[in-house]
Amino acid sequence: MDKHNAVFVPIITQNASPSILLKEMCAGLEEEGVPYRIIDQKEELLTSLPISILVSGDQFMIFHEKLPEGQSYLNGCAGEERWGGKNAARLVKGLPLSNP
Amino acid sequence: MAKEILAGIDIGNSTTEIAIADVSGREPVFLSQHLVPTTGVKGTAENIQGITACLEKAVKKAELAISDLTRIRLNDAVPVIGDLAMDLISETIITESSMIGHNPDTPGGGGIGTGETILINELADQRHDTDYIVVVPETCDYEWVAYMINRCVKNGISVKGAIIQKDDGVLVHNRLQEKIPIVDEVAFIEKVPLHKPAAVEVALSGHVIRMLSNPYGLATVFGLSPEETRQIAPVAKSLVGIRSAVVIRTPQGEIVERKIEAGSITLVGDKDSVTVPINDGAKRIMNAYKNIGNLIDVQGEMGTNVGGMLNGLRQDLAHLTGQASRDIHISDMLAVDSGIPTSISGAMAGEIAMEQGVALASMVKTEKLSVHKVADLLQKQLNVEVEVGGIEAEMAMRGALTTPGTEQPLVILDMGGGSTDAAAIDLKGQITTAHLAGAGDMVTLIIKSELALEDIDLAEKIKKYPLGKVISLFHMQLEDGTISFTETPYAPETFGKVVIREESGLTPLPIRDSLEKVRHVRREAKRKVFVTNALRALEKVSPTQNLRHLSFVVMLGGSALDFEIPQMITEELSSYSIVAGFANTRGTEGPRNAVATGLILSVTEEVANG
Repeated sequence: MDKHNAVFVPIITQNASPSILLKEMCAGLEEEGVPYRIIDQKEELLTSLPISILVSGDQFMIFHEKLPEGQSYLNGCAGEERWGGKNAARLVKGLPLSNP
Repeated sequence: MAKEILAGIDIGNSTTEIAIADVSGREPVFLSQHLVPTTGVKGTAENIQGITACLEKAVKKAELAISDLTRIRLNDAVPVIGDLAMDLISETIITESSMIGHNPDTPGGGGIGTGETILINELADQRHDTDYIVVVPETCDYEWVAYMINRCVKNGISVKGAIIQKDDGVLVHNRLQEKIPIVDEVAFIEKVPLHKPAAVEVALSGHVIRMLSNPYGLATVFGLSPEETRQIAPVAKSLVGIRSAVVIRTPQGEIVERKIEAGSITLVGDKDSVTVPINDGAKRIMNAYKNIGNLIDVQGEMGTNVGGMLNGLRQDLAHLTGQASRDIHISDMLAVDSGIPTSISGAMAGEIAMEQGVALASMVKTEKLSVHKVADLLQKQLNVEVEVGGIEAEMAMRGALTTPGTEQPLVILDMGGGSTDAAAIDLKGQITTAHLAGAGDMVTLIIKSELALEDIDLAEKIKKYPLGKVISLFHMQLEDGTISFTETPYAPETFGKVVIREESGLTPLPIRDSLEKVRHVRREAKRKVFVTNALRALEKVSPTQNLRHLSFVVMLGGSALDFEIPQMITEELSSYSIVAGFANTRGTEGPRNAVATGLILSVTEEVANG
């Protein structure tokens, strides 16, 4: 895929628990107008956005590519999906984050 | 001969400062100094607590004990006390309409739609010959809302816009077959009047609404007569500059008109007395003040805003000084224009509007403060001889003259929290003083009001420290436009926000104003209070009332430590060819400790003169 067309926030799922509502997380991103894609961890990442979300169990973590490997910037759990999606989008847009 | 150790103590409105010196020899040897916040109103017994705490710290620094002190000298504080008040001089009154005007980050769609307000649950049963604006409470899911609107529109019901409580505007909009403007994040949706004509307008991102912020636009949308247009004009005014809005007509007058008279203020002087309507603003009031000679008192018109404001001020001061409120005479006053955040009647998303207001600082002379009582109490408690030293201005002058590069004649400008005091000394040693209302606390109050902050401590921090804006996890823009970089990412609560850069860390501001706006408000508040007061004070103490005849001005006090106030004054006074700068007491203490130092110096001079 052409790298320039790949503008999206990847939501990477890893043994995601059904209690995590991916739909709400996507709604958070959509409301802010930032494209996203739910992908399997095995897929190769090709996005020009610095933000990614990892959903694992009933937790999620939001990463920034400039942070050291494995260090997340924001964390959340089931019930905070909308907030997580919204703030991932706002990190992309450089806007102040909202509180849970 | 036993050592003679002296402590000079200066009790100010906001800080208590101490200097300790060995005065056995011809020249005093300064051993230590310390300062703490003043406890209680200056000149009252509550001061003792702060004094002893400060004294303990100071003697410890000098490796002494309180029992080693031979004598303590207190300053004879100036018996003036100041207070602040602030009130509206204009107010937007909205009648026969309700409105929502706010800036949700993500409203849906764009354009303008008009129709009758209707709850989404009732939409399906409505007539086909009317246009509707759908009202959606937070219990409704966005997918269901979109489905509902799509289905009803397909069935021939005309939907022209939507008002949504949750942050779902874009989500609903993306799912609609026929696009409409949607205003979301409307906190008090239950207050939206139903079955009333309404208009919804959303501007594209980066634009502002045009139709609802124009009185004739409102007249067009609602078909208003010239008289009705005149009534609705305040709505248009309060919607200027925002991205989305709703206006709902409620012709039964559900929102009650409230009118307040701003009133007028009478300045009574020894030469003349002048009455100025407060609507004319701070500038006119201060100009009138110049022409009345020495101020004797200030009165506000009864039954008006300013009357109430001055009355409150008088009562406050009566309470502080223990005098009857009719005996309180205002001896100085500073008026400054200031925006005051006011909640708009008829607003439904918790909006506030900045209305014109005026801040008044005033100062009253009290009966002599009981510093002697404080001295007696202190002597009993510490078992050290306590005496009351000379006049405060004289002491401050002696201390200020220890600043390298100064000489008589000299003017000192003591800029504290509660008042701005000036004193001039001529070649013969004659001292003239002036005590003016308005200083650091007034700046804090104006910052708080103009930025609509709820927390006065936050306003105080904005006053004291420079700002920055976190623009990425690792970058911050500073006030001068340069970018600073960090290796550890900024905390999420500061991301994208304007922050106060204290030494200890970053404090994010809970407001959406830009860095430039906050900086402008801060600097203007300082300029309006301190530059104005510096000029007023110098005119009062200058022997010729002409600033050009002064040559040296030394700034003292807490506000002289500010990172920009001294520069503003230096700049302003340089146009009168005055050398102005902040003091450096004893060449080491900066603008602090001048009075305490003066108290000690005056003792050694008394000894030298026999």
